[in-house]
Amino acid sequence: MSRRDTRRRPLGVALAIAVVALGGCAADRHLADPVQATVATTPTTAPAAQPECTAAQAAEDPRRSYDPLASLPAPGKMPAGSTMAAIQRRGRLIAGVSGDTLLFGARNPISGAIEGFDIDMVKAVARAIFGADGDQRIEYRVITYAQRLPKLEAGADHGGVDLVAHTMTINCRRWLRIAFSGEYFTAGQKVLVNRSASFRSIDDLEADPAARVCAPEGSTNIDEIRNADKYPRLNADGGTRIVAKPDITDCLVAMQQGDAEAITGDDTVLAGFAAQDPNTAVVGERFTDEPYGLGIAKNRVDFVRFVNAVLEQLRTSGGWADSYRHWLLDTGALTGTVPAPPVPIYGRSA
Amino acid sequence: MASSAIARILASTPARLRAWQVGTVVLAVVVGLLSALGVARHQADLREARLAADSLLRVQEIRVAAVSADSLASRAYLEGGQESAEARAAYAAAIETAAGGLVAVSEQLPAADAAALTTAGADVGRYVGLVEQARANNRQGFPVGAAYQRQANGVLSGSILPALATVEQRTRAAINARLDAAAGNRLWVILPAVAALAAVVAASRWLARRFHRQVNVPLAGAGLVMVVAALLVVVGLTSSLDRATAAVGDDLAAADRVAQARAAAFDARSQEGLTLINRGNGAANEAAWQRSSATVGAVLSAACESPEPAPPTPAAECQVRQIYDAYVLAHQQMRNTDDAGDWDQAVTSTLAPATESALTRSFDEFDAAARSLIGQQAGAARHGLGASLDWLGALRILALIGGLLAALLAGRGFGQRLAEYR
Repeated sequence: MSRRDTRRRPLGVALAIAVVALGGCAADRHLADPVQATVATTPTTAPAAQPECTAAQAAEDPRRSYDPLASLPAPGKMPAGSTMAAIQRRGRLIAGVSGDTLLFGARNPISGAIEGFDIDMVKAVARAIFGADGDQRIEYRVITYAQRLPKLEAGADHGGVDLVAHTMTINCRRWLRIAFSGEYFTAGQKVLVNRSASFRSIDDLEADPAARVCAPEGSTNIDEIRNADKYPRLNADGGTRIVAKPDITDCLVAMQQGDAEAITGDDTVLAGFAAQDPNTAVVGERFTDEPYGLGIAKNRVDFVRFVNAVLEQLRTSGGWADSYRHWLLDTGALTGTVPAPPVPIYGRSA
Repeated sequence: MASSAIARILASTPARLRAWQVGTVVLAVVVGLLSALGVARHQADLREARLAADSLLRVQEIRVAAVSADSLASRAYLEGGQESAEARAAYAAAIETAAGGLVAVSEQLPAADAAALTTAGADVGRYVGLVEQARANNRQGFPVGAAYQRQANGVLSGSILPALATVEQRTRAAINARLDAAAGNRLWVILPAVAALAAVVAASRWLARRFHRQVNVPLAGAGLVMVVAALLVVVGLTSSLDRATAAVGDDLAAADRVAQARAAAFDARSQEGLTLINRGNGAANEAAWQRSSATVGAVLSAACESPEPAPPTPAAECQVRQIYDAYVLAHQQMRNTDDAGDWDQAVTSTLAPATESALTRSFDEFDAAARSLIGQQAGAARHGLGASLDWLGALRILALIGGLLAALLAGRGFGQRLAEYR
């Protein structure tokens, strides 16, 4: 071995020791990054294109429903082969309702029952089918606004519902997919403001450059105020004064937290908000008309006629007025006296 | 010229002997100091790793407390005005754990993390305010309470939990970085020792040539002392590092995984309540349940499918996973009940005590098993990291004594030859 090699030896030994000594940490004993599971989401199919009304269809009054039955069959004795007979055989009426529209369809957290003006309409239908115990024969399905038409199209025997009572506006486009009862309530778009504020209408809000107006995203209510021809100042500066929230109840939260000066929506819904927050009031005149109807599957004309007869009876018997008084006047949501019920229009041909 | 001046000074053998003597003595002392410094750095790195591990465990406790508070709040909302005093107390305790924990753990974290946790603390205050609003509205029968409850959950999942997750992740990275740094500290012992050994060998060879003796015993002893001291210190550091990496890689990692699973499970439980609160409008909450639940499964499955089974940990984690699977099954049954239209029965099974509801029972069993396993693993991790610091003080003294002893022997070795010139 040469001298040169001998001199190299300590260095080689040192490196060997270093490698052996440091080799111990080669195995990965580190803390791993947190695991984030991903859930395979079913690809959302684009919603089918909404059918549009033809000029002739649009010309017809959308409130026009099928004629009511001349006389109601006795409860528990529904005509064979009818939709009502199928419901009677099933033993329960499946109704799609709102769970959080106070005064119209909301769960009472004390009793646990769903109650409101819309619910009274459902109960009247159930009593007409089953008799006095009809109230106990309703299966409520709390559904979203977006589920109202699809649940009717699916049908009660396929995860859907028999009837929708969910502050639903009758219009031509919806008639293309479902059928409606005659108009049972006339609502309209209004604004809710703080009582201490000076705003008395949507025009006052339009005029004040500091006023922010909240409405639920995707609603006809927000479409209305986004119309820059009607409300140029509200839509100035990119429409930053229009506060969009996923749900109209989030608008009440936004207003209570000072993030909006007003909410715009159907006066029925706003009346429920005023009942929940006595510092607020519904003001101004209706600036749109929203005729409400009960939704029924398109091909169930017999059931529409039956429901229209039930609603007729409710109007003439004073039941409609009782419900109006109980839910809208006694709660303090609205003031004044019970108005005349809306006059339904019939004569639609199947 | 400096080099010629040095050459003149070192022209005589005694001068060269003295130069070698001074050089090797200084080198031995420096080797001792550097070794001790290496041990001190190792000690500092492991102390930091231990502190960061403790912070990680505490931040995870806070996260679990926050999500469990939310799960209690959403279930209390479902109960409306019937909320029991025990449920209220459990919620208050969970909030207290989260809020108090944030303040306490902030003190032992770097400034950026402490600032993030201070913001999270303010968000906990906001969260509590929203839950109270939800509760007050709910007690009066106002549906707007549900929107406040949703918003509260949004603050938790949108602000508080991401802040905690970021701090957790940075703390994990800090622990890993400290272990890597600790592994490199052995070079502070090895490289100077090798250099000194080379110098001793060179000096011995020079002495052997100059004085025609085979071995200068004290100088050889100096070399031997340095080699033995360096080996002892390196072995000590390696053993300490092994304990620390085992504590982190096995025990802390297991505690970390199970804590993540437990937090995700409580989030799932919250979403389960919110799905029922938002009744019919709860599809987004059920989707969030699916995500959180899948995270529980994935975190615990990773342990079950570990290629290196090291009982008892993976076995225990798999057992926790199996208990969770029972909860998933009970949840599905409850969802089927709700989807079939029987919301009241679904709520009853969610709120009923463990003795009456498989859903509550399976979740409570999961929580108890996960909490116990986290406790065991966290205890083992804290113990292991503490034990990795044992004997390091003695090791540092050993490094210093080794250097001094080697210096003494080297000085004596050259001193013997120098004495021959007096």
